[in-house]
Amino acid sequence: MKKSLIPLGLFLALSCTLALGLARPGSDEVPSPLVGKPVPAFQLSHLDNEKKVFTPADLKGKVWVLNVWASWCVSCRKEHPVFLELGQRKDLILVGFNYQDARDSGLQWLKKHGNPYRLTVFDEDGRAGMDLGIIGVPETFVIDRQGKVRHKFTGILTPELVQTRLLPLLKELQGA
Amino acid sequence: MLEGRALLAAALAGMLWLVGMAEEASAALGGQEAEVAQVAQVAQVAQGARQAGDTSLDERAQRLAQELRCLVCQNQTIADSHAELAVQLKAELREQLRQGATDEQVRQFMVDRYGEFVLYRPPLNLTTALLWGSPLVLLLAGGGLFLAHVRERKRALQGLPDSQLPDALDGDCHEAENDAANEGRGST
Repeated sequence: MKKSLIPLGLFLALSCTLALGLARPGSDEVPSPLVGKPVPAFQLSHLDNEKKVFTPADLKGKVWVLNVWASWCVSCRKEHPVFLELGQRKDLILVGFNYQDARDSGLQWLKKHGNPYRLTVFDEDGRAGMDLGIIGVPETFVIDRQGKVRHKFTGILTPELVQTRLLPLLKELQGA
Repeated sequence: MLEGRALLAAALAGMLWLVGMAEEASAALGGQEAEVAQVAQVAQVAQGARQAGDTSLDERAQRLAQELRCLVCQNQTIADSHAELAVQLKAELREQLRQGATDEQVRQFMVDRYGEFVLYRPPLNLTTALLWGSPLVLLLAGGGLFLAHVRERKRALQGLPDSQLPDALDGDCHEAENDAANEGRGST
């Protein structure tokens, strides 16, 4: 009798392990191999001026945040209030990354929903986005004074994440 | 006797498993050598090779795409997926191959950007040791349980008077053989 319960016990243990794994928050998140490495040296034009070129080296020595968005991205609209608020902080450099979009649509989107970014770069074909390992939008990168990627947020940056992760990290990086 | 056969079967299954691993490793090595040869050939007879090479380029691109995971729909390869990113990565992969990149270079390109997670065939390293080692561990555990079971049965049968033995033992013996053979086949 007791022995026949062993397979059942094993089965239940396996089920519990799998269920816990599935329910674990962020279990479908892919850690970025970019974290801890220098941000890729892409060269992109500004969204509002195709003659002006931006490259991450321009911000060397500064802590900055790169937010990947697109006018066709619904979640970006949802997270945008967070960036509007962050944009008011004087000590923070926000750079927008308009991913696989049309220049007009991108500019209109910023006009309609507000523009918190110091500048926005325009990645029309997504090739620079590939170097950043962008899987979907929105994504947000934190880059330190040495030009290294220190963190990547996949998906919507919630006010909670700002409080618990982003702000403490920025404080640490700016202090360094 | 029974015990000896079970032991033999378990050993055989283990060996088959090891042979499988070795085969895979040598296949990977062989593939790399073939690539080097291919690149050298292209350099030597550039014109002719490029014309004939287009189908083999497609094949290589297709084969590579089949071992890379689409990050948007994580249970598909980029060969299967029609997600925009997958289509883009397929184009990038083909372009890199066309310019003479080796399969390994393309794989590294993807890993650098999207992590080892993109590889459907994970490399053997510290974080994947459990993944690769678990079949052997399970095999040993299963073999151990099986042996214990056989031993126990044998002891129980030995306790019986001779007249009750033959029929039951014959049937059981065949069953044990089949089990052992199946175990060996299942693990390769």
